[in-house]
Amino acid sequence: MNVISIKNLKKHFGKTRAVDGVSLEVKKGEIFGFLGPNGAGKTTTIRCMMDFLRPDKGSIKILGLDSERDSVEIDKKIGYLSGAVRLYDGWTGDDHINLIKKIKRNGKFAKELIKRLDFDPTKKFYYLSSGNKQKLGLILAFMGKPEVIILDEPTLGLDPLLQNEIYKILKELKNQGSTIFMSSHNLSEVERICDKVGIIKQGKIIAEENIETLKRKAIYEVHLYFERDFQKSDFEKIKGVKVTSEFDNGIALTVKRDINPLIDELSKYQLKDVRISRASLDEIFLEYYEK
Amino acid sequence: MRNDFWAIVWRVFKDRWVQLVVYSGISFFLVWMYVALFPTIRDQAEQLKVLLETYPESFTEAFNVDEAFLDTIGGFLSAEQYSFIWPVFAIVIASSLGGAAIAGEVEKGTIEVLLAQPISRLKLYFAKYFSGIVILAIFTFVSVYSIVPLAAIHDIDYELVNFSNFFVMALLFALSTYSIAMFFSSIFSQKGRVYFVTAGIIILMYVANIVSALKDNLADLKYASYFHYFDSSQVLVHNNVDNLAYWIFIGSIVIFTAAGALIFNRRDIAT
Repeated sequence: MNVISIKNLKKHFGKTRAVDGVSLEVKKGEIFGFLGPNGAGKTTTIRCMMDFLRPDKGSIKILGLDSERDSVEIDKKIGYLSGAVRLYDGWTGDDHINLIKKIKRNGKFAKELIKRLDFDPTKKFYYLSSGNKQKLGLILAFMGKPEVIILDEPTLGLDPLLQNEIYKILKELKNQGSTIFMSSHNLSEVERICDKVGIIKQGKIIAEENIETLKRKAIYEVHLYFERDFQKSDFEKIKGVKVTSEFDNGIALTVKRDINPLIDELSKYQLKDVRISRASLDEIFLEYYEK
Repeated sequence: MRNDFWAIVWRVFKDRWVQLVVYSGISFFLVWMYVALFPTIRDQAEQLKVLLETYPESFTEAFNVDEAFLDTIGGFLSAEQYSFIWPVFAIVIASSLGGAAIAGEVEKGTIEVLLAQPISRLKLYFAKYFSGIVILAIFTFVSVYSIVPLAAIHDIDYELVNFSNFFVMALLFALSTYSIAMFFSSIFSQKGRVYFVTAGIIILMYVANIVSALKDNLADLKYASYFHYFDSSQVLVHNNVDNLAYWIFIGSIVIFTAAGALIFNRRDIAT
């Protein structure tokens, strides 16, 4: 079952095509990573999902409901964190939590989150550090254990320990049935917790893949050490192979996707040593960004 | 109405109570000062009336100076407090409430927290609007009905009916200004713009009212001014309530409020 379904979403601001035909689907219980360079249209897409912005064209369905017409019904089941957490300077964390509790009539998870994130809810928002502001934003998003959680850069400004705690909480919520849609610039975080990613560039989705599929598309980094002389051009002509550096009796290569043609070529040579490693997902994402 | 509506009303009220107490307190003490001064001024009424007769008629008309203003506390307060100082306070409070309600939230980005809650935009708008009505009503009540304890303290006669009628008119004036501010707050994304435009419109109305009294060929301009309808001396001295004034104020409240709500319901909110 699709919890989030976006079809041909378009949102233009004058001549700027912020979102230009985005379509994507997120299934129940998935953690969906929404990636893209700055200005690609991530936040605009999220704001359309939250009904802050009205699409020029296309449709957004969340839990089978229309994001604009049924926004009140949808908001009962959504937890939302904005990109830069902006709350009321003069209010304490408790003030914020109590208001959301009163409106949503739900906040069963707030106490536990305060403890787990080591957050002081008695301080006014104005006096909180950026990390603590982010913690409060996350508490407000998670406290109702919502069916759908939409997060714009959830771990922004958090130290690695807290990032790990957030990943743990997200996984727990997923296991309890929540569906999570998160934009992020932190690629290792996406690799670690997301089931699926969508990559947006210039307002269009350029890839939507399972993390595992993406990993299979990985780039290999190969270091070859030869017993005798070798012809660099023999390797350069192989499709998907790029020579990145050359050293005494050896070369370093990157190989995209299929490594077998390289192995065939290597059978002509006596090798002293060979090292093959997978490039990180970061490099795959960057490939998409640069395309 | 549900919990969510009242939760927002209560929150706005909590955020604004200091402003409310300060302005209401100042207004109360000003009324107290004028009430305390009134017996002395009344004793010198004849001399002051002679002085007043030397002013051109159009001048006294332009500034709503009633010839009987020294005879009653209502007339005196109208001239000293309710025809200029009180409207300035009301305009400041109404603009600041209206500007902060929507545009201020968009400017700070805090509107996203509210829009992400299960409350419709219209309900949010009217929750904000209602909190402003409560605050303005309290301010107006304190400003007008402070006469009750103060007159008792200083042993001064007053007509409660006149003050009650004036309370209604003053509240309608404040709410009309507030509705204009809410309307522009729904359009703009910076509260400064709301203050600027609302204050600009009200100042223009004030100038239009004065100019219309000074220039015969511009006499009809007064009908475009709230200050023509907000005639404190007519109500406080003569208990002369112009029904047209009520309809003008109520009409502009309804029109600006409805237009503001519709715009807010449809607009994009990008913080």
